[in-house]
Amino acid sequence: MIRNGLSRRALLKSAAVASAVGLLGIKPQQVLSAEGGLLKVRMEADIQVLDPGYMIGGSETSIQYACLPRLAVPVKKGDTWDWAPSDYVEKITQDDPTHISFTLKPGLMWSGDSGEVTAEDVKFSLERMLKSDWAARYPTLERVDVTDKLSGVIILKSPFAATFLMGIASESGSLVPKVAVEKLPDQKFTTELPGQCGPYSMTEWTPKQRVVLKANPDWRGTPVAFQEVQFINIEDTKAAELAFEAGEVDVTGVLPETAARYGKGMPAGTKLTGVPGPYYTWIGLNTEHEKLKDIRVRKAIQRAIDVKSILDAAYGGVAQPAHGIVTEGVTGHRTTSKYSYNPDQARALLAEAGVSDLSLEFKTLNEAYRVTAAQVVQANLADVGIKVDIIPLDSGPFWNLGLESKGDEWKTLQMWWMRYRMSPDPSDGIQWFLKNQVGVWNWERWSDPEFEELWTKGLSETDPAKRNAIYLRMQEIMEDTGAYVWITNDPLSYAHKESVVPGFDTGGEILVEITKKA
Amino acid sequence: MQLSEAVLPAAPGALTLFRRRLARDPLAMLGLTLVAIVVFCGIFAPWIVPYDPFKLSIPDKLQPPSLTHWFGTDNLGRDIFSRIIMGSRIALSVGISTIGIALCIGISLGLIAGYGPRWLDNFLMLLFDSVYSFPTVIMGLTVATLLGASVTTLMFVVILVQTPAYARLTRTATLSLKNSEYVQAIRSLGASPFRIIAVHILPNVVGPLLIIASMDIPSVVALEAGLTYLGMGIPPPAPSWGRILQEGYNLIREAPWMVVAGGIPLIITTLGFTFLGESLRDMLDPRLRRIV
Repeated sequence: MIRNGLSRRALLKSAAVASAVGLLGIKPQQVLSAEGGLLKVRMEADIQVLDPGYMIGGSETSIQYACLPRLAVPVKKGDTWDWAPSDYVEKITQDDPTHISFTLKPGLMWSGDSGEVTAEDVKFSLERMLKSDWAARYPTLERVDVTDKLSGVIILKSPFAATFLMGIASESGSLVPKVAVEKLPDQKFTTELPGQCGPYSMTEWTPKQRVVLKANPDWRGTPVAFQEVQFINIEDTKAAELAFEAGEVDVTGVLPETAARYGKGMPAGTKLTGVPGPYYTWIGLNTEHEKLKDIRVRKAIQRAIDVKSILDAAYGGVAQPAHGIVTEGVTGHRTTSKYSYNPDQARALLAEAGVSDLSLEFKTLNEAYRVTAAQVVQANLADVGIKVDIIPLDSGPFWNLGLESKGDEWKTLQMWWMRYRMSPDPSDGIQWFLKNQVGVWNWERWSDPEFEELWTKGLSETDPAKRNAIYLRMQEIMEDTGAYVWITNDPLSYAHKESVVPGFDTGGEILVEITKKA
Repeated sequence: MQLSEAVLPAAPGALTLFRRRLARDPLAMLGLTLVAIVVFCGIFAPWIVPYDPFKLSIPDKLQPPSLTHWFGTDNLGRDIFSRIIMGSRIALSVGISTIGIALCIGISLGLIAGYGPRWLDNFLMLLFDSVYSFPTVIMGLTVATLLGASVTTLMFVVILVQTPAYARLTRTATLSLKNSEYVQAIRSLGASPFRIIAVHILPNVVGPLLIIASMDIPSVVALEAGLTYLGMGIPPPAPSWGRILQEGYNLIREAPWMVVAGGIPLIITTLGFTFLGESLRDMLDPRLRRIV
């Protein structure tokens, strides 16, 4: 007799097959169409702070550009960046090296009950930046004088070549409603915009999932191409690539090895766009940490790490080694370093410092290529007798590591893999290593009087050759601290549907308001 | 006629019967073979790996399976077959040691809850249920985030998750034995509670728990692999199977053999322990034979 029923063995066999399918990574893909008025953009990290004064970066920048007004916008002219008046102004002109006058368009209304966008909002927004975490974006700003309801003058203490590209036309030039922000505790905000006025309005945020922007029906500037934009939070770039290939996102950044593979053949209906690398990647060392206080130990680490192997293993061999932080094509770009991979020299320096049995914690974002690179570093340092424990972290805890305002992690921080991005002026990349950034973004925690002096000189210097020399010397000082192992200026590539023409800011972030349909 | 003892066939011993039953069950034999392979690899890993599983060789990275590298090489040029063999040591050591510790703690707490006063039973049950109510992976991720990813953290998570299960089973068995006639008789003779628990109750509850624990080993191995896959388990460069899978997933288009190679040992371990455990249970408990 054949007995109908579910035997335990049959159940086990089915479970085994299901397990095998799961383990082999075979999963049903739910392909969602993203055509028409909806644009789905992958965001690498969830938003944390949309306040221009305290933001972290990434998609926060894209949201600020889309939902907050500004006086000027960056525009690409050939291989270089310039600025242009924004849709929010009647005029903005540089009257002389230290005076910039502007007049806002009338009738631009904030969402909520903050009224019209006025010159008072401009004054409030720009002057509050001077007391913010991003004060270095306005190194020579003195004040903003309001001349009437919609007009004013931005006054600089001294000329600064990058006032627009680094400040006014960047994400740090985002305006906020004075009335609404003044009512907030500490006059700061995080993930809820106190007022919006832009081509898009942020309508929804599901933490760790997505941010939704909807086209602003009252917008009178340049029309947008997409009625709705969704920023989908996919931290892991490889997962984002799979999501892209499955049609779940329309635009995503891709890893160098994927860019190399896509170079040989893109998935149907998609395209690859390269953006000049705004990033600089290095391995940082905490100069104040007991284990790394001796400069000879830090210099030994500089010489023990084989950057070429890292680039071959983690970047698919398509990235070039960096010799500083300033990217190619920008004033102050370095082409050589004073150190090179030399494990014998590293061992000698460690012996000279009397250090043996050194063990270090190496913290990195939990991204595949970074963890791969960390393993090369681990092997390199093991080669000279330094034991390294790799600690992969999610973006939240990672980006708080060196911030004194976020706890005590900075005290125990030793070595980490770091990547920043910069706008096309050397001062933007270098500002994070000033003395006033110790405990904020200068996680290496050092300062140098000559470095500070050169910083001031560099801001007001207008001669390109002298400016170049200043920033070269500043990077040399950084290198001499032993706190930096230069890795690369990451090549940046975006995969997107052929039907989408993505727009970018100077730092390579996607600007959805200028993203078009092909 | 009287049969002499010389012509009577000798009655088979319990072990012989057990062996015969095992040999008659193909799934049991398959399970035993798979478990034996994994255990053999785990014990002798350092001596049988063809290459150093930790040695980087960037020029040899992402080589497909060949006679030189049976499962190919990974993105750092390491031999995947060697890493899988070495990974069995991690999987087994995490699986067996954590299950062992959880079993010891769980049995102790379960005996106390079952034999102790009512208020203590209620308190411990509340504790067990509270821990039990957390989804395992979520708890693992939370603990790993708070304490940092490491082997110790991973073992702590597994012990935390498994202990209540064993404690509850022990408690139930203890409650049923507590008022049995033989225990009452021993109590009336003046035996101390410790003696009653240790000598008369414990031996009666530990047998079935050992079988359950052995069947939990693949779950723990899978949990270790899962947490490592999510970046919250054993940190690199340890050749955990979960890490091999994670690295393979990241290169699934460039080197699909990495994912396949990382999945095979997990499948083997899961099937091996499950088939063997199920068969053992069937043999030892006639009520559970064949049909659910």
